[in-house]
Parts: sequence; C-alpha cells; structure tokens
Amino acid sequence: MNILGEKLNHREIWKKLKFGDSLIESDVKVLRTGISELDELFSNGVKPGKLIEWGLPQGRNGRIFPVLFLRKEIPLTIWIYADLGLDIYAPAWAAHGVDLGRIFFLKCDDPVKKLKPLFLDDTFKIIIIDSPKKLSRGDISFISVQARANKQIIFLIRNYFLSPRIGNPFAHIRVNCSQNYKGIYSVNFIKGKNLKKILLTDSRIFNE
Amino acid sequence: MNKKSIVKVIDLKTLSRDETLPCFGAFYCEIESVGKNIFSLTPWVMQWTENIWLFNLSPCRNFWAIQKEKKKKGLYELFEQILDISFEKEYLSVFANHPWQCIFFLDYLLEKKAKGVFSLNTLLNRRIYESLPWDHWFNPLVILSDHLNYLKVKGFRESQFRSKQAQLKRFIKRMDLWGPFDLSQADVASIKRRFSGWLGEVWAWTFNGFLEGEKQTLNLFNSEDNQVNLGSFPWIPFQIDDPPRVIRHLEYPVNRWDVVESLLIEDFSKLCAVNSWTEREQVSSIIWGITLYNLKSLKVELNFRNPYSLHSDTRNNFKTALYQAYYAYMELMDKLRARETDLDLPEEIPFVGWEIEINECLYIPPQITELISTENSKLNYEDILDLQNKIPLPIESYVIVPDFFPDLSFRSGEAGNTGEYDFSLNQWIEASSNRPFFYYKNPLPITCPLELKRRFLERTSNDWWESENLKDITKDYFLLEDREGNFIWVFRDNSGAWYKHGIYS
Repeated sequence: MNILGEKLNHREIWKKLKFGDSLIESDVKVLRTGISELDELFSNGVKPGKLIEWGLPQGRNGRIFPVLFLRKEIPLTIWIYADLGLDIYAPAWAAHGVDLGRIFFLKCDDPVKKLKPLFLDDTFKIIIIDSPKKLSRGDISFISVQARANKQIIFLIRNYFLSPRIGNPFAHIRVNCSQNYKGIYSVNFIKGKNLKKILLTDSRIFNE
Repeated sequence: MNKKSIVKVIDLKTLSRDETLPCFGAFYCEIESVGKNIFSLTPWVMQWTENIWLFNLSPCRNFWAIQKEKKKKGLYELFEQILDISFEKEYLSVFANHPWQCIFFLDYLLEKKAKGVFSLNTLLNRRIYESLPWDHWFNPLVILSDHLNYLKVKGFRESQFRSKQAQLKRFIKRMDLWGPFDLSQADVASIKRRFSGWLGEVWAWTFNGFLEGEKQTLNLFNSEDNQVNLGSFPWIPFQIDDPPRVIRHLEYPVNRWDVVESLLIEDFSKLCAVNSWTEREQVSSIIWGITLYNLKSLKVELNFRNPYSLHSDTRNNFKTALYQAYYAYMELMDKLRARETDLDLPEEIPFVGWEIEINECLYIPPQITELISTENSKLNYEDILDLQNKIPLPIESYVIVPDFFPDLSFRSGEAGNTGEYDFSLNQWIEASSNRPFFYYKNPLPITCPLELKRRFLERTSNDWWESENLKDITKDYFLLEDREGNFIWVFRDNSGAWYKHGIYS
C-alpha cells in the first residue's frame, strides 16, 4: 500500500521491468561526467533506473563527483539534503556548471516518509538523497523500484565511507570519493562492474 | 544601441535591471460591486477603504514567475493586462515590499491623478518616494486607526494615537521638515520613545528596505519571513460571502484514514459541483472543520503552496488535496494522542462529522485564460508547482545575483526563473568556483587556527560606502584543513576574528 492506501500494482511494475515498455520513452539521457576514465568505470554512463550509492564524508570535497554528472544539460533534478545546520550555496553549484534553472533543493531528514509523492511522480528524473537521517532498507527498496518504474536516476549519498562488508543489494554501483590536501581526488569503487580505485587531479576534473 | 536597450530607456516603469517580483500591492479602483475579480492576482486581499485594496502576492510567487517566463512578458506588463481585463476601468496600482509603503505612495499618486501600475522597485519611483511630503504619510493614518480599532488591538488607543500625531506635526513644523526622509536618521526606537509605539511601527514600515546600507535579508515569500516583515500591520483578510462549502454528518464515528479518504473524495466532488464557484478559481487554502466524538470542533487548514485547480484534479481523484488532508490528519492524530482530557475516549478520537470550505482562491476571469499559458514547455515547471502542493516541505530554487560579496551573490528564486539580466553573469559565477556547495547562513566564530594548514582563496569587500559595519568591509577567505582532515571554508574579518562559513562537502 502506498501513502494514500492505494494498492501498488506490483504485477504492472514487474512486467515493465521484465519486458520493458516501448511506449514509454525515457527522456533521461545517460548521465556522464565527460571524464573518460571515470565514465568508463560507471559503465559508460549512469542509465535511467539505476541507484548509485556514494560514500562522501563531510569535509572531504567528495560531492564534486555527483555534481560532475549534473554539469551538462540535465532533466529536472532534485537534491534532498538533511538538516545538518548547513544551507545550499548556489553560486558554487553554478560555478561547477550546474544549471540552477533545472536543479531544485529540499531540506528533509526523512525523505521517503515525508516526500513520498516525489518518488511516486516522475517530474524529477534525477533524485539525489544526501545524508538522510532516516532511511530504512524498506525505504531503499521502495526508491529503487520506483526509480526503475519511472526511469529515474537515484544518487544516495552517505555521510561516511562505504564498507564492502555492509552491502546494499539495491545499489548498482557503490563508490567512495574524497580529496586530500594536495588536491588529488580518490575514487574507489566497491561494487559494480569495475572494482577499481583511481586518482584524479584538480586539473583533470575541472578542465573538462 | 539595440532595440531592446532603446525600449528600456523609454519605459520609465522598468528602469531596474531586474524585475523583482514585489510582495505587496495596493490597488485603487472605483468598483461598483466587489466580485471575485479582486482575487485575480492573489487570494490574499485586504480591503483598506471602499476603493483601495491591498494584495499580498506571496502565495502566488511561483505561479506568476512561471507565467512571466512562458509568455516572455515583463512582470508589470502582465499585471497591467490582467488588471485591465479584470476591471475594465481606470485604476491605479502600486507594488512594494510592505503594504504601508504601497499606501503611502498611492496617496501621492492619487493626488496626481496617476493611472496604471507603479513599482517601488524602480529607481525613479524610489527617488520620488524618498521625496514625498508629510501629508501623504499622515493621511492614511486615519484609516490605519480604524483598522486597529476594528481588530481591538491591545495597547492601541485612538485618542492617544491622534494626540501623538499632533505632537509630531508640531515638531515637524518647528523643524521645518519637508517629508519623512528628512528625518530618516531618527531610528525607530527614538520615534517610539517620543511619539508612541504605534507611530514608531509606522516609521519602521516606511523605511523598510530604504535606509542606506540596509538590504532586505528576509525572504518575503517565505511565510514566516512574510509575517516578520508585516510586523504589527493590521492585515484583515477579505473574503467573499458564502464560500463554497460541503457538510457531512457521519452515520457512524470514523477515525481510520482509508475510510476518511474515500468520504473526502466524495465531498471534494460535491464541492466541485457547488454552483457558487467554477474551475476558474484556483484554491490556495481549504478549511476542514472536524467535529470529534466528544462534540468538540477543530479546524485544520489544508494549504497549497501554489494555486491549485481542484476541478482539474477530479480525474486524479483529488490526489493533491488528499495528500494535504493526510498530512493534516496525521498531525491532528498526533495532537489528539498527546491530550490530557477525555482520556476515557480512544487514543485517536473518532470523527462524527466535518465541513469542508474553500477558504482562499485565485480567480482567473475567462478573458485572462488566453494570457495564462498552458503550452507545454520542454521543462514543465507547472508539474513542480503541482508536486509542491503534495508535499509538506518547500522546494528551494536559487538565482545568481551580480554581486561579488559571498552572502549577497544569490537569492532564492521562483521555479523556472534564472533571473533576467541584459549581461552575462559569468564573472560573478566564476568568482564562486573556490567556494563550497554548502555553507552556514550565520558564520560560526572559531578560535584562531594559525597552526593549521590553510590556503588563501580571496579577499572580498562589501559596499563599504553604504555600510556602517566596519567589521565586514573586507573578509579574507581561506580553505582550512582542520585536525580531522576536513576542508572548511573560513574567513578572517577586518578586526582579525575568524569564522567558519562553510564546509567542502
């Protein structure tokens, strides 16, 4: 049952997942960063219906990586961030190439419980959930099913490094990112087709 | 000079580079009988006098911003067309960021027999406003007094208010002052002390956003900031008599949401069928008056952040309205569970009946429908407005402002509006490339971090010629690595104090 007591039509959803629906055209292009070695590790881009889990502790400048995917022309995107005492500093997003007319923000600690209509609706084709204080496995399962049904891309950002010992069966790719003081960025994939760690410099990332 | 520049020079109403949506408006028109047309710009209207009305545009900010983008019209051009069509008569309208400023300026324009739409956001009108004589400031105080009396405001006495006005007039005559701005150095506290609290309040409203160095920090379209800005202004909402209403008496008490929901769907359908309103009216608030099992009545308000068409939602079984009703229901259940009376009744006291009434509406007259665009653009921002109505939290959107000072380089915006400037904003955007994605609105003081690794980023300067705050004249920004290895955005102000302003997340 969803929030309004409607029975979810699981049969319909699984049918679409199995056989596809040629009538529904995805208006979400595959998301790419434009950095070839990075896109290759993301299987040449993030496709609609995928859930990517990011391990990006605060203060390590790791969020530059999900933002890299939002630099080119994007469909309507929403970034849901937890209340950690911080607010959005919009000019920095624009400076990194994000179109402020296409990205919206929402401060919420419990996104699935409080913002369920957002996931049931396909208005936002890219949804980023940043450091939610409350998100159960059931919630993640719900999000991932909805993402595939609505052909959305979900980025789930955690405020800590991810461990391979504690898995997430709903995430297609799990990756840890951070920057050190010398300006070198580390990207370490712990789940996905390519389990690899790469290092990137400032200039490699920002000169694309 | 290209054609666009020539048009802007001639069009005196839009001398500002950026048509910022104002929050309030005052409207004068000799209307024989008030109809729903008075709600054609916003559902929040107040009747100031027989022929003067006040508007609060905050519930429709996103709606008008999208219409402006879709129709590629100037904001005031759009408002002018709507008012022309709605009233078919000569009218005068002033827009500003406080209703008192609208009334003050309107009084002057009425004397000059002006017509049309004016805004205090333009340089020309601001200069005129700053040079207005006292008469136009004193004239509306009579009406203000009537409204304060009507509301029986605590601490207000009409006789004292009149005598203090006379005292102020004698002072003005003695000092030979032309208008309020000749006394702009007098702060609100001194006016309150000398001429009473209420004249002090009016004083504050007059200068709101006009003093040198003062910048509006409140988001006037946020409901809390809107109330803070209004202050003690006696806003009396105007409502049409006999709003559409449906009453239900339940055959048996209910408290389960699934039962309540199905009954609400029936009631919303009946509400749409009521003759006294049509699909042209877009709802911004519904009052749900619930009668509990103990026969106590409670009213909950279903608020829609953007004007919402209940009639159009029929085909979706009123999903949007049901979401808001569900949130209100859950909140009510929480309150009932926490009660300390009627403890012999169930924890969730059942309902025995309710009444649903349309409280506030935006009315779109038939002739305006062609002005309101319904074309599907590539990015459908109206879907966002609709989604906004379904969730209990506000969706944030931002636009860049051409200012190098970090705190002033952006503002919250409306869906789809990236700000209209005739020039590229690249240099202001590039200036933020070293700044973090997340920041503290109020910088946190920290101890001097000299022993930690830091890298100088930039020095910023505020509009020092307008500011009396010497601490903020320059700020030196650094990227600091703290003991845990986190990258922090810090600055040192003019006095040498250090502050944490953001985190490189």
